[in-house]
Amino acid sequence: MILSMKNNKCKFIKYFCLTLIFFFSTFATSFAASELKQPFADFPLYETYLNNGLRVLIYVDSSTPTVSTQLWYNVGAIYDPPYKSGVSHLLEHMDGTKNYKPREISAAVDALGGEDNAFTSNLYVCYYVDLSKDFYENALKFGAERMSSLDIPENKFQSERAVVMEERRLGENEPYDVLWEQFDLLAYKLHPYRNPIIGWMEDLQRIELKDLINHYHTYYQPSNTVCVIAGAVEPNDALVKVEKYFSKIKSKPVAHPVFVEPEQQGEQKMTIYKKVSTPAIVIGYHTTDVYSLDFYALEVLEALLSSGKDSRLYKKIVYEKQYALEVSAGNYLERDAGTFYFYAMPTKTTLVDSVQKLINDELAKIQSTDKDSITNEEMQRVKNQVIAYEIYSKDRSRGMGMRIGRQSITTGDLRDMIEYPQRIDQVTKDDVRRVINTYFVPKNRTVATLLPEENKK
Amino acid sequence: MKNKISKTQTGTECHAEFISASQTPNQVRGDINVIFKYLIYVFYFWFLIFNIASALPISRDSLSCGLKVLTYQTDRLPLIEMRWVTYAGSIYDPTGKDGLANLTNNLMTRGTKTRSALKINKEIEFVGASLSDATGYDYSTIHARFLKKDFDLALDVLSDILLNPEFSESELARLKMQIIGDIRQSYDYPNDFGWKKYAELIFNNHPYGHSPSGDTISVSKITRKDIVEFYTRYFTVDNGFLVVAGDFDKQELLNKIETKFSAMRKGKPDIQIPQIASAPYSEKPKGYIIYQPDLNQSYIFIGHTGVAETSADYFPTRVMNFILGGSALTSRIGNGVRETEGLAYDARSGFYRWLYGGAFVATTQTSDPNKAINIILNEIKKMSETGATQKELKDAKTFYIGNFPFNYDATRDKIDLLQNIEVYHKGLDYPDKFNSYIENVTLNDINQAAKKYLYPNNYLLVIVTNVPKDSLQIQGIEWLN
Repeated sequence: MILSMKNNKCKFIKYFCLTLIFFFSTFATSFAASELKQPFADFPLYETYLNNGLRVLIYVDSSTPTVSTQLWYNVGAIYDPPYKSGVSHLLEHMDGTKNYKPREISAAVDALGGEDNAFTSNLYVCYYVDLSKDFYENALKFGAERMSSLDIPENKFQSERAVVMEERRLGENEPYDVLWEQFDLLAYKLHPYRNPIIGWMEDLQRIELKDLINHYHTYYQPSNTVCVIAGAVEPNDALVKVEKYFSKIKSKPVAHPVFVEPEQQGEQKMTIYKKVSTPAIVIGYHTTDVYSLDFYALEVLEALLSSGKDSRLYKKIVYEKQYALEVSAGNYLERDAGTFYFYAMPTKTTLVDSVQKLINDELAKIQSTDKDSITNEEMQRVKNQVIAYEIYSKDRSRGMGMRIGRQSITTGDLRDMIEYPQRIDQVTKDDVRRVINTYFVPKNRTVATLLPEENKK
Repeated sequence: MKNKISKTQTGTECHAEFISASQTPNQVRGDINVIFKYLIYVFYFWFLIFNIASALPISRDSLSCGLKVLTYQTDRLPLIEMRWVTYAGSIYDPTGKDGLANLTNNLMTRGTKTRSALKINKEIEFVGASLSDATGYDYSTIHARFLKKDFDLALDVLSDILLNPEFSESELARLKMQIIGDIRQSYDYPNDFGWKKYAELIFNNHPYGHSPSGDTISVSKITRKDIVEFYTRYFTVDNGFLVVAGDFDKQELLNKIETKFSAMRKGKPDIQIPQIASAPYSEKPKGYIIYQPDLNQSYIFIGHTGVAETSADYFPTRVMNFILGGSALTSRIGNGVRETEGLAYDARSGFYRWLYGGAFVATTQTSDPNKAINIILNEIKKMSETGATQKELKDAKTFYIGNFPFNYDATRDKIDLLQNIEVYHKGLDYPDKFNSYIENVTLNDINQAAKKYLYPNNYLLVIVTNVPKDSLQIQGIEWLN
């Protein structure tokens, strides 16, 4: 009985599945006007451009139960109009459209069990909606709505601007955040990196609804956007869905202003005093941009100094000397030249100078031409960590999608992401020494210190 | 490219097998009986897919050494995460030794009889792995993430940490300095110390009333002897379990674990933690103010004790709170405080649940505390008195059902899911039954839960604020300080 049921079941299933396959394949070939390409062998990423210029990147991972759908707009805080810092971020908060009142989209995503959010950086705004794989088409529908018919009532603009002002106040109440804001303001004289992404309070008060609408029409164009879909999708089917919602949106060209920070002429320092328990220090050096091969040598330097408890700064300053609660280094580079920074929280105000000296000592040690100044073992650790992190980064669709989206905006060339481990592998000890020689000079340095207010003279 | 059919999708594997069968579509034609049969098969097919697809490749094994191991097998990526969980959270800190559980768990990762702290870090990080520790109220954890090829190394290090910790005086001194520094720093963050005060007041002298990190005085007093005693008492094979998720052969894995853990001490500590019930905070609303004129906002905590994770009313309270304050954008509190009035970036409420009790708290950070507090209290009152609507209930249910796959998405999610199943006695069939648990919640259930577990007139307010007490206008409140 059971066997016969299985046989009949098989007949039916086969018929049913063949029908389904036929239906879907016909559907896909009939409607997908664009053609997907898989640019890299052994990496399940599919790419195309719609006729309106929208770049579509589909990363397939059938082993996850979810799909992350992300729209990356090539417009971050550096493109805020003068004296209107915060426009990109405030616009990111808006989601009412012709067909959906404000927050109706969020409520609809909630009702599907999804997780949606958005964030703004200096370069880009990313909206993402993560849904169980059966529902991801809705994310495309909502994303296209926002791209084509954003509608912000004046009262919603007013209340959301007030929300963002409260968001800014949260940061103002965190003195360590204030230190970073002041560091950027000191390190950059001309480049809009000097402005906080959330905007200065004075600018937020100045922003009007028409500024948002203007920014939206200028930059929220299909040709200025990357749509990333990552997770359990069939790529041709996903493309059909993207075209269904996005292909009719008209596009106009987008021009991005170019900003260049003039060369720094001398070391810059500042000290701020706040009611805090622990001092903190940010030391930054102007370096280069992501297009430079030096980027990879700086990545290796960052890892030698600060990737984990076996790295140099932690071992020397936190573990051995116990001069700081934490210390880190970061290679923060984008399309425009950025900074390499150090951040430390010395345990006592009297140790601030010593911590800075120890950081400089470590740089000098690495820089030394002594053949053992960088060990083979620590170079190998850095390279092993990169290989492992490549695998870890595939663990969550949202995370993998974000790597792809971020790369598509920063250099635009996904080869830079695919070849990242090989390029790191090619970095030599001499490359690391060379970048220290080139960039880590006092003239190029900015130091911002936060001290407990009882130290104020 | 790696085989993408994971164990979570055995439905897909069946599908492939059926397609390869040799029958042709012609054979499905027949009389009315045949059509009827096929209709049955349609239902059977969907039933099968639905059920198989929802059954996760999880299991729970007890080894002969007594160790319990929960596993989630998937070959989707060549990585494994492994977590040791001990029932040794801060609720087991002895009186006057707040922070002992945290200190013990952390110090274990800083040296064994044969590995120094530096050696552990070097071995783990050289292969791109990571090791982290955490201590909460109910339990503490040591978590490792590594590539599949490094399983033997990771297991060796983890078992060494658990079985042979050194607890050296020099590492203890170093760690105490670090923790005391972190505790001092937590007072730079109004949200952190506001919550600490709130928990201390609502839990009174119950162990949930003190922070897992302890305070600067209690931590400074903890000795190596305290740590060794705590370790000996709690870190036994019977008082914890192991969770492993990722790409492995289960039997081989269990054999290796058995070998490494066979010498672990047995025994279960005989400690009774009292249950703390959901209850009004007091007869009248009470307030506690932390005046900080340097701030430019008020940090608000409103509520009382709540329910335990194991409560029979777990699902009704969870669904009810989703409607009341589950999200800053779409819940009633979020909509009132943030969306309509623009008073705060974040406004929400939550039932935080642990083994022996829980907390209900509504929070926001605003420069207009009077208005925001009023809205929050009104929303709590409205929910308590008139309950939710059918539409709200339907949307909350579809949220939870649609959202459940995120509970077993990345490897860490899988570990968290299995850990919660074990700690809170949810049963291995919890993932399969989750949807029906949610479906079974009725409007009457959540309205009763609102009446039973929300006390809009008997709350505690903790406020860290730049507004002087005289300018705070909260009806009927009695200040505790």
